[in-house]
Amino acid sequence: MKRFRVNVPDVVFEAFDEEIVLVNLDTGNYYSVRDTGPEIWLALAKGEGLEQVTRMLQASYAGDPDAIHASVSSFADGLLEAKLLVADGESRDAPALAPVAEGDRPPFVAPTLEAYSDMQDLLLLDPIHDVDQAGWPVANQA
Amino acid sequence: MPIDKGREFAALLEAEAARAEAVAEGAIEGWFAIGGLTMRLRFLGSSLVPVIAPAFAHLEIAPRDHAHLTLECWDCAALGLELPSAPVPMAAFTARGELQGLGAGVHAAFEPWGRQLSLFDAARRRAFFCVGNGAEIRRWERAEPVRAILSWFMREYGRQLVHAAAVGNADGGVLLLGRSGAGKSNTALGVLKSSLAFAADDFCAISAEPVPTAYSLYCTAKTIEGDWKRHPFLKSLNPDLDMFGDKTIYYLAETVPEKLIAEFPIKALLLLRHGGNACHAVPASPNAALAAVAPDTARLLPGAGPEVLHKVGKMVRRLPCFDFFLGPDPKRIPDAIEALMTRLDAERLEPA
Repeated sequence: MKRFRVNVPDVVFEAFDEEIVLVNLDTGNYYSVRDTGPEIWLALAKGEGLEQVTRMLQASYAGDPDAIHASVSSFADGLLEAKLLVADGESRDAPALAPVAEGDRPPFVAPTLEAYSDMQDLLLLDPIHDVDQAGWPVANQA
Repeated sequence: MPIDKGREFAALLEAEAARAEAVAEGAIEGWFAIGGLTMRLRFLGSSLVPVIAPAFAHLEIAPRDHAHLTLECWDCAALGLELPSAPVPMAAFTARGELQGLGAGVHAAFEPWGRQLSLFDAARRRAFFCVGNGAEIRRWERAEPVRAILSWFMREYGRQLVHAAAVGNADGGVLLLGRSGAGKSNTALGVLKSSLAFAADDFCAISAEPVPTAYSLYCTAKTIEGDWKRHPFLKSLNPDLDMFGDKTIYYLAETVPEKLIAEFPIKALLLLRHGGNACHAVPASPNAALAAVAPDTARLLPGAGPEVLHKVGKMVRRLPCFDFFLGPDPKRIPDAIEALMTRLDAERLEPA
């Protein structure tokens, strides 16, 4: 079962009630994670396996289990692609969770990961390309 | 015995500073109160005085017995000295210029233009700003000098530098948030003709406890080329124009010292938005305010990381946040800010 960890020190995040703001200092992108995204992010960031997180959501929300699985997997792929998470090996099989009665569960809303790249251009002005004789980075004059 | 690279490098710079002082035949000193803390600036040679000191002119104080930070500055080219060799390999430099792997308590960063080396030694309350050639420091950097050192220094005392403008008066004020081009500088300069005062147009320091407070760092403002022509009153501020079309810089302590304020309690956070039929404020979420200020702050400050988000996150949760639409008439903006603060005061006294 896949496990992940936050891509520190490049990635920093702050959790609010219904949203998490993430910044990838390496790529210059920042992100807003909403809907069921914060719940999933926090669980994955804690080192819970992907399968375990999927089962947790299937037990907590009403909806097609396969659709929830696909949604969580796709969200995790997005986090990996954005280099917000990195793979951290495998974990033990997740225990099955007893679902809450259907009527008590809120409907599942797919997690959202919204990317903002407007600071990327500035970040990519990285001046460090070479070093001088004393070992200090040289300014890119371009 | 493990080698503490940071401590070793700090000792090397201390020795270099002593050498610079000997060559310069003394030091030129200035004392400044920044963020409620005392900074003693020692210039080893005169060439960096006009590069650094004017931006802090509004915060100058009489010499004290004690400084929270002693910062020594020298220009190797002017003194015929060499910049010390880098203590870490190329791979240890980050995109923001910080040197990784120095160990706890010592922070350093390098800026290639002018070959600016900044080092902060937290335990010894000392910092060094050593440049290869001060003449090559970019013009706009003179408006916000030694920013990395201020960031480390302020953080040591529970403050955080943030990418925001700040205007207000002794009773309170607002932070103006937004990316470059959002209108921070023009809005901050616009208050000079009102009863509000100017604390910052680009970077200020904040503390979240016990009361969210904004602190002025620099008395400078920057606008894009030509703004001073569109807003005639800016011309009276003696703009430092650049013949190559770079930003126009205003040293406000020279022209309007009475309109500068060192600190005030923060009453609200305004996310600047262009547009609107009139200048007006609409409640916004704290996370929108965080997204408006934290990423840029983290990008622009060497060594800034999770603590930026945590400290700014703490602040945005404690303060009302608004989308602030600037409207078509800049002259009305200061009145709208004052009206908003008056309304917030009234609501605090008479909660709904």
